Amino acid sequence: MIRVEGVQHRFGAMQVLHDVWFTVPKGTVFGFIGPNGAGKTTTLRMMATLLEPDEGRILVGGYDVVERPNDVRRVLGFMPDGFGVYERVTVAEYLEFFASAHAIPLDKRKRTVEAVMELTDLGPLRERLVSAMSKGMKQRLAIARTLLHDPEVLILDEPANGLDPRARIEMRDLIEQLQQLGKTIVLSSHILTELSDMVSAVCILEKGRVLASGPVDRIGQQLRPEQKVARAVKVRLLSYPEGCDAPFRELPDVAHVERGPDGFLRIAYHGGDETVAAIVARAVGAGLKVVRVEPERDDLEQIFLEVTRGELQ
Amino acid sequence: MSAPTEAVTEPTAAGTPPRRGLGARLRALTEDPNPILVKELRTILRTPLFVRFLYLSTGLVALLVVGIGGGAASGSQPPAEVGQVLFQVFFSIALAILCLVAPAHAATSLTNEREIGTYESLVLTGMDPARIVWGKFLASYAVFALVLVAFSPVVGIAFLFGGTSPWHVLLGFYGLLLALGPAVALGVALSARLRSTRVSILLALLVFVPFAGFGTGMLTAFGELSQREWGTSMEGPFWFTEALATRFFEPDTFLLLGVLPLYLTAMVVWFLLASAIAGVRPAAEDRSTPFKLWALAAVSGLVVIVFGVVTLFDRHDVPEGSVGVVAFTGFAMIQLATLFANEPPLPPRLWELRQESRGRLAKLAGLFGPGAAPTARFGALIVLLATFGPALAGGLARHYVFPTHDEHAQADAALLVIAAGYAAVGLFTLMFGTWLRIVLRSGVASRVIALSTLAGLAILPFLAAVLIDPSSLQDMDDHMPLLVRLTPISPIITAVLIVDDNEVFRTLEVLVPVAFYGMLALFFWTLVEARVRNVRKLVAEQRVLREKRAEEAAAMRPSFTPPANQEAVATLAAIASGEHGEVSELRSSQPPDASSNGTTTGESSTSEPGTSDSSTGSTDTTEPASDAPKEEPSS
Ligand SMILES: Nc1ncnc2c1ncn2[C@@H]1O[C@H](COP(=O)(O)OP(=O)(O)OP(=O)(O)O)[C@@H](O)[C@H]1O
Ligand SMILES: [Mg+2]
Repeated sequence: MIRVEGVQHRFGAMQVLHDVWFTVPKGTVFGFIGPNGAGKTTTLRMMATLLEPDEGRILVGGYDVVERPNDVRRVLGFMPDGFGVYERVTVAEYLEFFASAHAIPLDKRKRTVEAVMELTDLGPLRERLVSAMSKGMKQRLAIARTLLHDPEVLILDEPANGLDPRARIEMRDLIEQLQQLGKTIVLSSHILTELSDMVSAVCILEKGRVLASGPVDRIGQQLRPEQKVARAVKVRLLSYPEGCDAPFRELPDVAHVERGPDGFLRIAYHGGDETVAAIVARAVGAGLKVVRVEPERDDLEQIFLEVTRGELQ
Repeated sequence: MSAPTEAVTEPTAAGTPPRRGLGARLRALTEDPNPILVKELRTILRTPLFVRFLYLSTGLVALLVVGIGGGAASGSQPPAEVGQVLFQVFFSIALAILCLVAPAHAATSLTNEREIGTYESLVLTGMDPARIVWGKFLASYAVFALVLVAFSPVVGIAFLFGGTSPWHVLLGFYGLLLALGPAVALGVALSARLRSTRVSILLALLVFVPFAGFGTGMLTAFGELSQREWGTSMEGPFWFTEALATRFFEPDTFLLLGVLPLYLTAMVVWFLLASAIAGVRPAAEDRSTPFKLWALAAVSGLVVIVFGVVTLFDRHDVPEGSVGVVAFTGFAMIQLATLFANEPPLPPRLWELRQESRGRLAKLAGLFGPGAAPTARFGALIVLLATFGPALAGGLARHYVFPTHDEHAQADAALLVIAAGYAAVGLFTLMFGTWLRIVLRSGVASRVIALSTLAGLAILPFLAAVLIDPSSLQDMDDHMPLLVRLTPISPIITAVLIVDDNEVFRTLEVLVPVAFYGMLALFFWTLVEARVRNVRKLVAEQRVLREKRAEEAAAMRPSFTPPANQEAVATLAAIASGEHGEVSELRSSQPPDASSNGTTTGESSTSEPGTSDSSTGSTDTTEPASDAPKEEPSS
């Protein structure tokens, strides 16, 4: 859906991007991660036709951003970093303004605005003045605005910036919903944990260079090839009696069982969901009190720390 | 990978609205008004500060009218005169307030969007820059029209004394509304081109206030002339209300107070808005066409006005008068020439892309379209129109009004000399400026150099002539030194000599400057066309090279080819959805006693049951980090 091919950019004498390559496949939630000043905003602004690359090219939805900016703008919704909103209008007026600016035909405009408010849960706030909204609500409104022309690609620069945990989860749900609608979504952040539960592919950028890019699990595998064999779950028990790990070792697909640092059982296994079901059945069958079972994946944060070799912060 | 070709002809879904008939467009004006206008009006009416401003300023106007007007009109005057003084004071104060506040307010219109960070969102909607600019202009204009409405009751004070009529008041407001146009347009134009609101406001005031002061001074001075010529009685800048009210249908009043101000205001507003639109348009789009349309209208209007003004002259003044008026248009011509000498060598990229799929007529128009060479051609046409047009109009008017005049021959010859001389100088300025612009790559530098070259050419030959022979300038009537003939003002000197001394044979003397500047213009024109061709070739070569390099580089990165990625995405999607499924299923299948226990490991899992936030407590991977290969581009 988006291809960034060998992009370079200079601000004056400062080379901000060096030969940046990555691809955002259709339908992915893509994390664009890097510390402050890495060049994320610069890259995203190029994707959004607001800046032209000095070298290389960027295709969005098959259109070159330099040669076909108007087509790119049609398929793309962009929420800039530190987005602004008009203050003294209501939510509904705000969205109607942008619907009109997008030249959505008059007869469809009301319906479009309603649909977008529905999707972003802004319906109850329709009469609220934007100036009287919280940061989280404004963020929601800013995302709603980018959806009006039903773009295939959403580019959100630092969407979770400054949100409290609750607002962040609401946003994650919204993004999940949007992904289910088939949208390709690019999120940027300099904070890993903001994105780790949303994205399935990432590009990690530092000082204008790509450190890693691709699907999260593939990067993880490349980082730790010996671990390629298995996936793992963490099993938390109410209590951990002596020998509580024994029953799991007997299962055929379980490769490895160990105790994690804060007590839980880390069980590496082959196969898919059946194995997980078998593990749970086994635990219950053995009279162990299961409190929680959660997947342990190739964690973004781990990847990030390894890839950036502690050069951050 | 190139863009799908069918998208070229596909109507833009959310882009420009489809073409409609006039009726539908008029209906759209009311049903679907400019969103920016609506939004701005809503916003300002909800701003408490604005409402307070309305109250306060209206009160202030009332106080000032009573204070100044009452002071100026001492007890001995008849009430009608007091009424007229109060009338003038009211409108002058209203004008002063508008001149101070309106440009400042309009100057924030686009910089403000930039500063709060909404500008880019607005631009990305694909809204036509012209619509954006018009929305901002109309909104600011409407706000101050509203301010005037709020002021209007105060004028009642003047009515108490008599001496004015409702017509005067209406025409006074008409004058204010006219003045408001350039004030607001200047603010919008500055805000379209500047980043900082503060700088924009400052510049708007610095430019507009002196301009308005000068204009008002001129107008007031005109009023004294009118008292003598037309017998009007009112003093002060708003004297024209009386003149218009009493003698609107006299040709001179109609032309000078009806048509001329309207033309000037409209042209200034149009120019400023064209400039604002060019400021909002990206550099890859056509920025020069709005200026070209404006120039065509302005020059055509100029021709009409020259015709009208010459018809107003007395029989005795007409030869000198018509020549003088036409000579005056030279300034306009030089400005036009420098205006069109400010284009980059190649036409804007996006315009060119669109041009490829256009019809033959558009291709023909493209010969005068954006880009240095076509714009220079267009500029040449405009220069010719702006020189020969007024000359022709002035001549025709003279023949038409005084068919039996005996000095037609001299006057015609003088006009011809001026037109031809100006045309040559204008073409030279245009071509030289264009060439400088594409060589220096700076609009400002090239303009400064072109204009100072012109100034130098106007002055230096005189100095040189005096230095060579101190007495050479003494009998210019009989033989003008050759050097002096080369100044850009020599055609005017020749024209004056023709009219004053009845020496029609001197017409041929203009051939010297015409040939000189004409040749220079031709020379620089050739340079411009050649250079543009070169640049075009160079850019095309670079482009090919770049694409080749990009393709080579792309081929070297197999991990980025689409199939591999799609596969990866498919597995990834499966994993992603699987994970969430697992967690919720597992939790619902847990024994009831287990699930009642606290499971709050992550900060967010309390507020969001059903999903687990594993990332917060995930530093438990015990494997040491290995130097595994990364998908780092190898350069
Ligand atoms: N308009 C500009 N002019 C000059 N330099 C700029 C400009 N915009 C960005 N930069 C520089 O380019 C570099 C990359 O900036 P960018 O905003 O893309 O980083 P970022 O990854 O988005 O950082 P952050 O997390 O802080 O948003 C920074 O060093 C910044 O100082
Ligand atoms: Mg940024």
